[in-house]
Amino acid sequence: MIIKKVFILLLFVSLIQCNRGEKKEYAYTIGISYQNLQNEFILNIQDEVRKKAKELNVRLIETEGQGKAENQISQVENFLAMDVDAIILNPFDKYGSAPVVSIAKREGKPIVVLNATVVNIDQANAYVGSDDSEAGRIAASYIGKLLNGKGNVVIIRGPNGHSAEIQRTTGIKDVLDKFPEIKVVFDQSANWDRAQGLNLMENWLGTGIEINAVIAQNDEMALGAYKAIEAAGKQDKIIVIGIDAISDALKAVKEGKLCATVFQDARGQGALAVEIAVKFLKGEQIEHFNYIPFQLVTKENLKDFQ
Amino acid sequence: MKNTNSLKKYLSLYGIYIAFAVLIIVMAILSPVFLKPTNLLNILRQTSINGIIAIGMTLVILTGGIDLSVGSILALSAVIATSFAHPGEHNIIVPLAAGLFVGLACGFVNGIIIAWNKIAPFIVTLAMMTIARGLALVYTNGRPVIDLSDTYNKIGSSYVIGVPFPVVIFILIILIGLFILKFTKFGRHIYATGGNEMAAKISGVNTKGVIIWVYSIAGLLSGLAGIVLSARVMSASPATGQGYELDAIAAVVIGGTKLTGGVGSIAGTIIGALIIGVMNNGLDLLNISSYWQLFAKGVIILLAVILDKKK
Repeated sequence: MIIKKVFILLLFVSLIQCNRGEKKEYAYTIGISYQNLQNEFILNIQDEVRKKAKELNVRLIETEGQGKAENQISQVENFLAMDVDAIILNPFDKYGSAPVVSIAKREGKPIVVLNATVVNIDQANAYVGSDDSEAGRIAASYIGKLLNGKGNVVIIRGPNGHSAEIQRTTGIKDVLDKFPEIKVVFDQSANWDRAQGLNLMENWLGTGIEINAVIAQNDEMALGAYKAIEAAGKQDKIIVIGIDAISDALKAVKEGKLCATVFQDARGQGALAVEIAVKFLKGEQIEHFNYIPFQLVTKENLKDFQ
Repeated sequence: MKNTNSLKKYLSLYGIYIAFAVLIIVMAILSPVFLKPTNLLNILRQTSINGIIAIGMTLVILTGGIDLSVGSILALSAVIATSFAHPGEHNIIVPLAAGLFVGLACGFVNGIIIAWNKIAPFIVTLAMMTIARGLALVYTNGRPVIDLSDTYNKIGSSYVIGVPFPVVIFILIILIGLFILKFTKFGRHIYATGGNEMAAKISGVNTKGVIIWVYSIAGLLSGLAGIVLSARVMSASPATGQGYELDAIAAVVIGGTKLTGGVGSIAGTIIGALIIGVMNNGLDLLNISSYWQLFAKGVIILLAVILDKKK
């Protein structure tokens, strides 16, 4: 009985497979491991990776770590068993995902690291992404300006240990250190998650300590925090900034809910990663670090990003 | 009539093994890479961590209990073990002993509270799940433990006569587990406690002792899994191991162990863990979206419990 059902399931799975498995000669096969495909920002990267792969006649094998470094290691082992031509790694964990790069290096497979970094980034063939500390600096500088260098700020971080969290925190702190009259009254992680950002902000507002601005390390958490502020009726007293410029955040900037967000060019990153991998496979010269700059998005320049 | 009945019985007894064989055959047909030795070793290596935890979970579930804290105990053991594993600081024995001890201690606390206070294991281990996670975060200040010695990292990456070291550990644990359940008094007492605790007690089984032991073993094995995992990722994040209890429970349930206790086997659990491992690996090889992977895992679990019910 169970056999029959497993058969049906497998048949079903193989049908999905047949549907997409059109016979076609590809120039290269590239395996990509995304950190987590349940996040709009990474999905934006994925869109562009797919488009570019199609354009360059690359067969893509896509996997995701589901937010676990060990899954990414397993996936790259699987890529090696499949003998792909190159690997693109979008690491979840700066430290935990690092063995992926060592394994690829040991097996002589070209590897491009995308969007977030790993500790042994020098061992990879190339890095494509943005300098996350820059995003932190841009966000903190804008808040510093709006507050006229004076006030109480809270910071909502990404998951502790995530490379973007570490670097965005560094950037934010670097700038805030230059404003002696700005005080960081709370500083916690909400794991990139909107609901957790909301809870955190509710709790902070509940303490009665005055808060003038929220610097959230991504838009999801910024929007969550805004919801808590709105519910407390303090939207005119507290300014909120996010990072990433996801579509929801752009809408919020337009409506004046977020004072700004910082645009990280997901699309540019995704396309460039595939391009660089293919360039390398063709034997062309590539740069090791390929940075795509961040940009501040406010009401004024909003239309350039929609 | 009798014939079909015995066929049915045969199927429900061995259904999971046949299903596993079918899965292997279908994967082999669909992916030319699947049966390559490197890929088979990959599957075993990728299964070993869940497998080690699932063996401890089998013992717990056989007594009619459940352990939700294994993922958090894994994280706490991993961060404490690795904090003693920086290069040139301690002998390799120190981090290993520390990690195993922490796992054992957490499991022991679970067992004592469940056995002596008769509180539902679900609640006790749920509490331990957040306690151990909290301690892991406090201990590390939320930061991953990094910069580990090569000797330590080798636990995750080296080979013994061509077999990945995590797999060697997994096989050892399987053998010990099989031996305990099949050939020792303790093993028989585990089944007796889960089958009918009252009857077991009356016939002289120290059920409290059995319960304390199985949770301690589950904790110890979670600690061991934490060491293997941290060596594999060459770092230990306090956030690691989330959701691992579910994978372990899934492996046990797919393997035919009854959640009510008393019935089940380690052999079944291993097949259960391998089915999950093969699915994850195979669907990756076939380039099927990870969204479907989650879906498929759930379907398999459901099929397994439905089959279990029919026994």
